[in-house]
Amino acid sequence: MFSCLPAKLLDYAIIPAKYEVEVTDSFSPTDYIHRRPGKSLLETGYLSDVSRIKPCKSLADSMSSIDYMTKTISIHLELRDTPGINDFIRKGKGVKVSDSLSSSDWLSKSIVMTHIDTFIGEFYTGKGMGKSIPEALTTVEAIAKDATKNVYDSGYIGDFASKHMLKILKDEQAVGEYVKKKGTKPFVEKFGVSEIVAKVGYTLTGDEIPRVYFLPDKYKNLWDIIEEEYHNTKVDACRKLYNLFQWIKRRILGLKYPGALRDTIGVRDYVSKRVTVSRRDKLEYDFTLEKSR
Amino acid sequence: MTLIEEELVRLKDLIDKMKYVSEEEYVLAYHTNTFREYVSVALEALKKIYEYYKAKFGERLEILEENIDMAENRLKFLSEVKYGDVVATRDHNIIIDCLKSIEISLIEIDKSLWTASIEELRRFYKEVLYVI
Repeated sequence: MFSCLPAKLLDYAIIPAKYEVEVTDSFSPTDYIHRRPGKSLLETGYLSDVSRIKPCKSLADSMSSIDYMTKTISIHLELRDTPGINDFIRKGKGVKVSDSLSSSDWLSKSIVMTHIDTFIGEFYTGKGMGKSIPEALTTVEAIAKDATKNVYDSGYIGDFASKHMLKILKDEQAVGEYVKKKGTKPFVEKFGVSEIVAKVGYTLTGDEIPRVYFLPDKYKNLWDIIEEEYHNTKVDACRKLYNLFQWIKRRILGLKYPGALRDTIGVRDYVSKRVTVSRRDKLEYDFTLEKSR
Repeated sequence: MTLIEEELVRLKDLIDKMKYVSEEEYVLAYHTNTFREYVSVALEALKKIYEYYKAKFGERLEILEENIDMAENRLKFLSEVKYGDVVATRDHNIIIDCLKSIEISLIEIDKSLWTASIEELRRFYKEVLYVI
């Protein structure tokens, strides 16, 4: 595109180009899953344990692990054993439950634990045990949905995140199950760069003449047209080069020593004369200039 | 004294064949072919001049050799244009590249001749002064 000859920049254009890089080896989901699956799934199991009372299918699907369901049964029993802390409820645990629900959007491991704790509290928030149980169920159901949603959101980030974002998810270990499912998908990094199309031109024997460029169809606006002036400039250049050949021949053969070439038929002198005389006439330049000196 | 005499005659004939074009006038195939032939003959003449220069002064001009090589290599990509062919940007660019290379080469030779003549004069005056 550029020329190695001494040329000057006439014009340039920036062409955007998109590149995609697939990162396929930056992520080993299997190792990650085997590090802490038990812990993270177990926490989710707490939620599903509650949903067993009024089943929440979304949670059951997200778990996809029957083993944990069995474990959570025992935990649920523990929950049932714990009621009776009415004093504790009166101290305002109910307010804390609502706070923790709003913070569940952040969804980290610790927050899930908080849900569990608050759920226990909510379970006993009822004024009477008979009434409080269905109320608590409603609340728990909402918690379960939130939790599931949060997990899904985290997975969504991991899907479109760069490699760095994925590492963050790994550190948080919030969505181990989800990462396991999506881990085999290669991550695609898309970014755009731009390249510059530079157009150059010469000063050919005193006349400026550009190089012309033909680009792909989508850059039609950058196409050049070979104008008739370019052709005429080439004809002029051929005539001048012919004179230069004659000049050099006389110089090298020592026929006559006319002084430096640039002093007599220098390109600049020639161009200045072209300004005053018509172009076609001036092109009929004769090599007898030296005789007049 | 017949250095590049034949080439100069051919160049003159080619220049006479060249026609100017005006607006809305077609650039025909023979225009491009004439330029192509002109560049080819000019390169032959340039090489002869350079050979003569080397034989006379025993000096190599690297810039000139590079330009001759570059022009020759680029000229290989310029094939003969026939009626109906599309005048491509390549045709225009190669021609002006070659013409520019020839121009640079000729100016380089002129500079070298100028320097050589000064050195010759300097040696002459040294000898004269030494004799005196």
